[in-house]
Amino acid sequence: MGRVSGAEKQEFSEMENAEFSDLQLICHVRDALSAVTLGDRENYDELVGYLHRKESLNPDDIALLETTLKALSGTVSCIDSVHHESLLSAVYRMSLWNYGTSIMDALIELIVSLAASNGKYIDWSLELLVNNFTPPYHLMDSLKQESGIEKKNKVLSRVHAAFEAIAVLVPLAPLRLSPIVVQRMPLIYSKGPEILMYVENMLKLESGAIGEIVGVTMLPAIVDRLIELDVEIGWDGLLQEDAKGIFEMELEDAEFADGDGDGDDNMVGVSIVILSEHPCMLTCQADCIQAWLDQAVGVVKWLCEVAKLHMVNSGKRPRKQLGHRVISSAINYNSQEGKSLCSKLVVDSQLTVNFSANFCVNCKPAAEYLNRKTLEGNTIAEKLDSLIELTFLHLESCQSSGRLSEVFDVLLRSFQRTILNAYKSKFTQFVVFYACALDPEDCGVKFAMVLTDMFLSNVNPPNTRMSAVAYLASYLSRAKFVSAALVASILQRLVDWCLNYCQSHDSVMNLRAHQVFYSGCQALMYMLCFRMRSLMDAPRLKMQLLNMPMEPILQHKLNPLKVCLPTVVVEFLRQAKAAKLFMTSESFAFDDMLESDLSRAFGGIDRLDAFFPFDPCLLKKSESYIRPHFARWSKIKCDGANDGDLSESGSDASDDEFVDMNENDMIEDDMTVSVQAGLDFDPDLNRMSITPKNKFLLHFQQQNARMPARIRPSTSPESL
Amino acid sequence: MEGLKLSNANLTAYLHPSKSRDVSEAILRELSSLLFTFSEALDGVVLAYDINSLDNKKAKILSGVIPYFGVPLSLDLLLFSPKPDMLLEGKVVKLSQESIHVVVLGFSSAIITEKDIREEFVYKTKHEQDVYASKSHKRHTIKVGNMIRFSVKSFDEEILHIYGSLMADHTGSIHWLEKHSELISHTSRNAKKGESEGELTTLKQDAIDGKISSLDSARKVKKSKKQKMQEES
Repeated sequence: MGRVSGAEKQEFSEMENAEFSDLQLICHVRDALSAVTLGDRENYDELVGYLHRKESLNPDDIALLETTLKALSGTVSCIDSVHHESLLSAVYRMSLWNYGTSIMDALIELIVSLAASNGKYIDWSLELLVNNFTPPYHLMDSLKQESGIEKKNKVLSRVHAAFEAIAVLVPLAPLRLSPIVVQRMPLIYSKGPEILMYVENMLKLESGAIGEIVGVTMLPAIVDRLIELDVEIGWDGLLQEDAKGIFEMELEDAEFADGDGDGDDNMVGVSIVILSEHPCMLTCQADCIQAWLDQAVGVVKWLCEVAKLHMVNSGKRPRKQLGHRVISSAINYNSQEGKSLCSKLVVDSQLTVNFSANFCVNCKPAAEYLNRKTLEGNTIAEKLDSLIELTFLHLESCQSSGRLSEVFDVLLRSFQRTILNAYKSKFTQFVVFYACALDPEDCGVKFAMVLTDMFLSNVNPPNTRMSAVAYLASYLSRAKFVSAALVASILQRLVDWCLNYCQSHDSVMNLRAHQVFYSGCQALMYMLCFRMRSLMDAPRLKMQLLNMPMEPILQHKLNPLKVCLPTVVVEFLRQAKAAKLFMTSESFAFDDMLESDLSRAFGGIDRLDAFFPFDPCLLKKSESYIRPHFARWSKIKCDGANDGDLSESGSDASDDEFVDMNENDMIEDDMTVSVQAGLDFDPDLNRMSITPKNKFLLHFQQQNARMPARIRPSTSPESL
Repeated sequence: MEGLKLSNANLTAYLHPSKSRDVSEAILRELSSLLFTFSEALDGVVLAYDINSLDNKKAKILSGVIPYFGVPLSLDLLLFSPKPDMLLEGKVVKLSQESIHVVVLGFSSAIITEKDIREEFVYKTKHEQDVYASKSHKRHTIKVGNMIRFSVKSFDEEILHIYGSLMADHTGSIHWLEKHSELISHTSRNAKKGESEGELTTLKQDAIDGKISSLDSARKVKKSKKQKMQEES
C-alpha cells in the first residue's frame, strides 16, 4: 500500500467498502507508523490529522475517526513513544465527552490496548482516563440538563469499565492508579461542580471492582479535602477569648424547625448574636452599657415589629419574648441598668421601630467582618455541604451493599489521623457521625470504643486525648441511636479513670498540668447533662449511675468544678440536684456551687474547653440527613423543662413529667420557660452549644452591614 | 517454572524513632513496602518474605536530625527475576490478532506480540471465541483462560512487564505440552532436562550462598557507583 490518494480516501471513509478490510487497514497503519522511523511522515501525519478533528463532525468524519482509532488499536505494538509523539499527544488531548458512543468505544479500546502493550504507557493511559472524570469547561453547564446527565453516564461507565479492563490485563495497574487520582484532585478553589464530579468518580472507584486496592486511598483523600474546605470556613473574630460571654443559642430550632424558610427567625438569630458580641458586655463599663442598651432598645423595637409581621404572615404567636431574651442576656453582666430597662420593656411592648443602620458597626470594627475569608467562606461552605452530602449518599449505598463495616474502618483510621487532630474541625466529623447512625450496633459502638480507648491510653499525646474525649462526649450526647447502656458503660470507665487519677495525684488545682483530667471531667458532666434523664429512666442504669463515685472526684483538691466550663457545670449540678444525686443528709452537696463564679479557662492556646464537635451542623443539606439521628438540646431541655428549673429549692419536681411538645411550639415554649423563670434566671441552657454561628454573619455581612432585610427571599420586611 | 528463587538475605531496616514502641509492626510495614517491587540489591521482585530473626538489642542509632535506628534482620525471601530465554508459565487473559496477553503469577503482565508467535499458530475465531490454533497439531490450541508456557524476551523492571515469545518449539499450551511431550524431539527434551537440573542446583546454591550473593550485588552496586564517580571526575 502506498500513499492514500484522494480517491482511496473516499473509499476509506465508506465502511461498507469491501476493498478495505480490517486487516488491510491495519497493515496500512502499520506501514505508516514504521515509515516514520525511516523518515517518511506523510501517511503518518495524515493519520494524526484525522485525530485532531473535533468540531462538528459529520457522519463521514465520524466514521473516519472511528476507523483510524480501531486500526490503531490493532497496531499498538508498533507505536513508539519517541517517533510517534505527535500521535500520542493527539490521542491524549481527545476527551470522551466530545464524541458519540462509537468513537468513545474505539478510543477506550485504543487506550486499553496501549496500556497492556507496553509498560511505558500504563501511567499515560491511566492519566488519560482520569482526565475524563470531568467534562471540558464548555460542557460543564450542560450537565444540569437531562441530555448532559445521559452523556455523563455514558462517559463515566466507559471510563470505569476501562479501568477494570486494564486491571485484568495489567494486575498492578490499580496500584499505580491511586496516586494518580489523588494527585489530580481539583483544589479547593476550583469550581464546585468540578470538585463534586471528581469526588463522585473517586467514590465510584471505591465501590467498583478494583475498589479493594484503590478504595483504601480514596476515602482518606476525600476526607483530607473536606478538612481543607472546612478550615477555610473562617470563624474569625467570633471565637470567645475566654469562657465568659457565651451567648450563642442553639439556633437550630429557629432556623430549621420548619422547612418553609422562616426568614424572620434568621434575622432574630443574627441580631442576637451580634448584640452579644458587644465588647462592653465583656468589660462591663457602665456608661458603655447604657449606650449599648439604648441601641438594644432599638433592636428590640425592630424585633417586635418583625414579630408582629410574622404573626400576621403565618398566624403564629407573636415573638415579643424574643426581645426579653436579648435583654436578659445583658443582665448577667450588669444587673442594675439592665434590670431597670428590662422592666420597662416588659411593660411596653408596642414600640415603634426606628433602627439605626450603623448599629452593627458599633458592635465590632467592620473591617474585621470584611475579611476575605468570611466573604468567600460562603461558597466554600456550599462546596463542603455538597461534598458531605455526596459522601452521605455513598455511605448509604455502602450500607445497602453490606460493605459499611470495611468502609467504616477506613474512615475511622482517616478520622484518627486527620479530623481528630485538626484544630476545631467544624463539619467534617459528621461524615463519621452519619456512618455510625447508619449502623449503630457495629459502627456506632466501635467509634465510641475507639475514642474511649484513645482517651484512656496514656501513650497518646495530651492534645489527642483531650480531643478524643471531647469528641466522645459530644458524640454520646448527640447521637440518638446510641443506647443508654453503652453510655453508662463508658461513663463507668471514665469515672473509674478520673477517680484513679484523683487518688494518685494529691495536688491542687493546676490548669495545665492536669488538663487531661479536667477535660475528662468536663466530658463526664456534659454527657450527663444530655443523658441523665435517659439513664435515670432505666432502673438498672439508675443504680449504676448512683453508685458511680463521682462525688469524690468533684470534691477533690483538683477542683474540677471550678475549672470546667461554667455553663456545663451549672447545668450538670442542677440536673444532679433534681435527680437527687450527691445527696448527703438531705442537702445537696454542691449547693454553693450553683452560684459559682465564672471559671478561668483551661487549656491555654489549645482551647479545648469550648470544643463540642458535634454541635448542630450548620450546613443545610447535610443537616437534613443528620437531623433524624441528632439529639437537640432544646428538645431534651423541654422534656425536663418543668422540673428543677423553676423551683430554686426544687427537690420535689418529678422527673417523670414530660411535656408533650409539638415541633412547632418548641420555640415558643422555650421562650415562655425562659421568661417565666424571671429576670435573674441563669443563662439560657440553649448555650449547651457553644460554637458560634458564623454562617448568619456571613449572610449578614453581605448585606453591607445594613440590618438584614433579606437573608432568605421570604417574608422579611422591607420596612427598614 | 523458572525465574523463581529462594534466597536468604541480611538486611537492616531503618525505623523512625516514633515507631520504637512497636518495632515488629514497623518492620513488617517496611518489608511490605518492598513487596511487588523490583529490588536491584536483591536482584528480583520480592514476592514473599519470612523473618528468620531480628536482633532488637543491637539496633544502631544513626546520628542526624532524626535519629533513625537500624534493626538488623535475617530474612528468607522468595524472589522473581525472569531473565531472557527463561521459560515462564502464565494464564492467557486476552487474545487478539496482534498479541496474546498473559498474566504470570497473578501480578505480572506479559505480552507476546504477533511477530514473536511462531508460524505454526494461526489466529482464528471459532464459535465466537478467539483462538490461536496450531496448524500442525490439531488439538494444540490457545484460548483465553489457558495456561501457556513462553520464553522471556525482556523484562521491564519498573512496571514488572514481561515481553515474551512463543517461537521455541517447547512453548505453547501447557496442557497439550504435558500430554504430548513425547512428540517433542528427544534431544531437545534431554537438553531441557539437563538445563533444568542445572538450574535446580544453582537454586540450592543460591539459597545457601544467598548471603554472599546479596553482598556481592551490593558490592557491585558500590563498584558501579565508584566507577560513575570516576567517570564524572
